[in-house]
Amino acid sequence: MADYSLNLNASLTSEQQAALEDHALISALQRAEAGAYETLIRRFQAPVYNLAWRLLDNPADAGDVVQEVFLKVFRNVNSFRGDSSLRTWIYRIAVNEAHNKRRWLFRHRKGETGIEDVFPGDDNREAPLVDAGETPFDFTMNREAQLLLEEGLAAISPAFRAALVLREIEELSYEEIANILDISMGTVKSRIVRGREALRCYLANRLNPAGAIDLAPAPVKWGLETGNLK
Amino acid sequence: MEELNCKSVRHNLWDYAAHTSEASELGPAELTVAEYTAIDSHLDSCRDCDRCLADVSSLRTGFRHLPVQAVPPLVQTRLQVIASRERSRQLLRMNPGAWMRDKLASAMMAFNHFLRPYAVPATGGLLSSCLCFSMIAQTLQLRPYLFDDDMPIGVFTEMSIADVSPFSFSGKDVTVQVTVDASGNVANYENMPGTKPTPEEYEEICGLLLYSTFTPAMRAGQPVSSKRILTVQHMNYKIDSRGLGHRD
Repeated sequence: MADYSLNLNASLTSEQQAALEDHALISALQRAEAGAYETLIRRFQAPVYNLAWRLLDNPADAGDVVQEVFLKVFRNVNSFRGDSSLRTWIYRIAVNEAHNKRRWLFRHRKGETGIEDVFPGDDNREAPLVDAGETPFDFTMNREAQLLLEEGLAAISPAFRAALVLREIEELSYEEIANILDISMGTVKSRIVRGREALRCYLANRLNPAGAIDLAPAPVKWGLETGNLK
Repeated sequence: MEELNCKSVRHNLWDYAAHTSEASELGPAELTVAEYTAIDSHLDSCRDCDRCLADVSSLRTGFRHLPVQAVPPLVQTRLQVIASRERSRQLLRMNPGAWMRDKLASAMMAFNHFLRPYAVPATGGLLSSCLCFSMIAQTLQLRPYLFDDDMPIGVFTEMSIADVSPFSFSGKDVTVQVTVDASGNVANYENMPGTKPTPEEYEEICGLLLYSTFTPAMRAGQPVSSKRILTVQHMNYKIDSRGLGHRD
């Protein structure tokens, strides 16, 4: 299999090296080299699938989105100008596709009952990658925390969720998120802050339903005293 | 930098936690050094904000440890299929000849698919029409004309003289227009312009026409009234020794 990672100059920064790798990969895709397709899929299928999964909270829909994303990437690779990084471009397509999918689901899947709802005990999500060294107690606590966090993410507004996922899980910069979501940097920051606040409120209500949480200056109630997420 | 209050510190706690995290690869653009220092000094003096930082850090850790979902094998297989198909398309775009051949093949296939729904109905219709025609053809009256004495019924035949009057005409040649009715009788006659018979000639013409017999004109097999111009010429009529009449 072709390797499109470059090691031309040790003095290059990681960003510059990534840009060169992207350029080489795009050029190979435009020449229709078989290895380039393989490399692109191998590099981006898991991140795109997880991003779509976080945005849609449904593995089947995420699978559909992944296919649409790669189809668009392959078909439009000749028109990719390189104004942004390859990852930003692909993530932008993924976010747009997830948005379209969500709208389609909203219109067409009202009142629809899936088979997974008939058998609520079945969890068709893929098995998470967990550390085998942790104790059963730690594993249970971590799993509870993860499920709570995922519930919180699924509960907040899709616009805030997209910004929050790109920032906190995909660890993109504000500028990259602005490029992906096609909004201004100020809007990105606003959505992230509001998304965090919405998530905090959700978690606070779940962990301590009795009282509301003040933003400042009172200490948050969902912290160490009531249950550490760590 | 001026001293921050708790609200503004908590507003930037996530970015502060990102800076302090060893695993973070975020650049320094989100927080300036002065902001970082100010938040750092505030956290040293504010226990509540410090607890908030711990919670933010734990949340960030929670985010980072969210399970990575493995791509289902079915999706991976579909991606391989998509990649293979799109690579073929890309190769076709790079080769105009192959692209033309592919488009031609696609057009042919589309044409075949377009005709396929009509193939069975068209064949059935043709066969059934042939069958019906062969059954009906036995009963059709398509005999050809085989009779010599058949009278054409679709044409007009002029009136004609069946038998000439036995009376002679002693005058000069006269042209008259005779009207014969459907039963073959003379209904009227008129002198043609330029001819003016004498009264004796007029009587001879009347006798000649009245005692001649005519075959009426026929239209579509039916006798009809018609007009015809006749020229009456001078005739000598002799009777031989046996009593038979002869024209000169």
